[in-house]
Amino acid sequence: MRAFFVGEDNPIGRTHPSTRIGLLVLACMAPLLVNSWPPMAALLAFYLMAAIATGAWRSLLRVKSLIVVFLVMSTGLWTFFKPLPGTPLLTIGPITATVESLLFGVAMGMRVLSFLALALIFLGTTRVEDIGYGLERLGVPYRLAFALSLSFRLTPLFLESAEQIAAAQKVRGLDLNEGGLVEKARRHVAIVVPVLISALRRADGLALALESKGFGAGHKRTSLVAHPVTRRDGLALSLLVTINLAALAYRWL
Amino acid sequence: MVELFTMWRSTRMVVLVAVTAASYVAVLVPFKIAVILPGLTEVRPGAAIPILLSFLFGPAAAWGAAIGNTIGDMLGGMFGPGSIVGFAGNFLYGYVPYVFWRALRGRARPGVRGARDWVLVILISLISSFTIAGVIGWGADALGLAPYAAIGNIILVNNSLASLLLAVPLLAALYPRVEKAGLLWHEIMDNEPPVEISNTAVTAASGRGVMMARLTKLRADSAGMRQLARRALGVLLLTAGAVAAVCVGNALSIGLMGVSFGVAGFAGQAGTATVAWGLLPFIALIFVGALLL
Repeated sequence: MRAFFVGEDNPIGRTHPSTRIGLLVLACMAPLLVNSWPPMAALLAFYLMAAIATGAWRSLLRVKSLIVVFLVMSTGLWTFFKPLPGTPLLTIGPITATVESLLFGVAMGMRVLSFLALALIFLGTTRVEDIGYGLERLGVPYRLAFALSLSFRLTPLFLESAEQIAAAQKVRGLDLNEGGLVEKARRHVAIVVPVLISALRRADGLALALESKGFGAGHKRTSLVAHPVTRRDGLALSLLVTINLAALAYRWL
Repeated sequence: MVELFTMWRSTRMVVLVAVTAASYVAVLVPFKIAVILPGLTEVRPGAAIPILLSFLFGPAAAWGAAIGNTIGDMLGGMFGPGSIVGFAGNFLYGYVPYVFWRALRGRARPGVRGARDWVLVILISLISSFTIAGVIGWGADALGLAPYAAIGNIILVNNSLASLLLAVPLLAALYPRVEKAGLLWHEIMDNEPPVEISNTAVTAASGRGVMMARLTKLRADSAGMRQLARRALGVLLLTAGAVAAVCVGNALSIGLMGVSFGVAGFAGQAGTATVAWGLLPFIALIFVGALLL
């Protein structure tokens, strides 16, 4: 979304929006093709370099707490609960963690971080309207692509509205931390209902505004912006295909 | 299920898809930090949103839940192949409540029969949770992302709790307001044929003569009966498929490992063909049931 967008004046941002979607899919495939830490570390390093080149590293820094949680929990979970034979490291009750389990856990943590980095690079280099444009050029029906890009646009508005309503309800004496699970859930109703009511008001107005501007009026749609497909797109896709082939080769060799 | 495609003709329904997706994301994203399985799932009070909005917006909620979950994955660092099964699972999670309600109670307002209606809403929410747990658990296991016993059970508990605690009070509070605003899905999509047999009756006042009217009524009633029977079969197949997928998935996943239940979910070897192939008939049953609805 807009908070993550860093600009299109970078190697990835200059490619066609459809290419960026293709790059995202291909880049997500590569970490799934390998399970060990050396190739996973190489992939993560490559994706982090891409984040630096595009400026998306700033978004990564903003979610550093999430990165720490992902890395620690993933490494911990897989280390202790994925029984791999090898050199014993630590025994807690019936579970024995091995060095191999730890390395597998680290690899899984890096896989999750790769996905996080890729999502932030994509959101950092692609405008909301370009996501819809790219999907449409890939054959996704216009209305579905439009709903997707509209969802991206509405999310920050709803988040902001939820914060305002929560603050207003707190001023009126609502304490969300009081009581047990059921009581807490009941108290959240006081926030969710006004948020959804304001969303519905917005939806009704939005539908009228869209129709008044001719949404769905014609069969042949034209676009104000045009993104040409250049040699850069071919090169970028070739690079990602090569990386996937290398990952496959590493797995089988 | 034809309304899943015809709804795209209505601008209001397109906007409601986006409203559902954005509401879902707005509640999901703040909890992305509360990770249960890194890269796969977290604490999800937002799981009540698709259930609630399905009763209100029907097919728009099914598409909205699927799109919202994908956006939530992107913003929360969980985007990947799991998002494909997440899309399918969340689509069904938003699809089951309104099609079940339509099949069992037609266009009646939830709560109009008092407690009996709310019990039905709770049961439908539970079946919806079983469906998403079965589909995502099977998909994540088949893709080798997480063992079925871990992901399937976490989703089942997570979604059941959220929908049981939040969906009923929210539905009771919101339904009258949405109805007043004229934004209920069947009000927007008024071209959908009515479900109840009584509504299919054609009166003799059509001016075509009594005999013609009776013939037309017979034909309409027969079509209504067929539709009802098809939907009843859909309810049965989908329910059986979802419950069986969860039970058999757990049995296969735990049986494979030969370890105690407590650590079974995490200790299991994800991606084994046994769970993927063993659950396939039940997953097929879920989709056949959904098609009939």
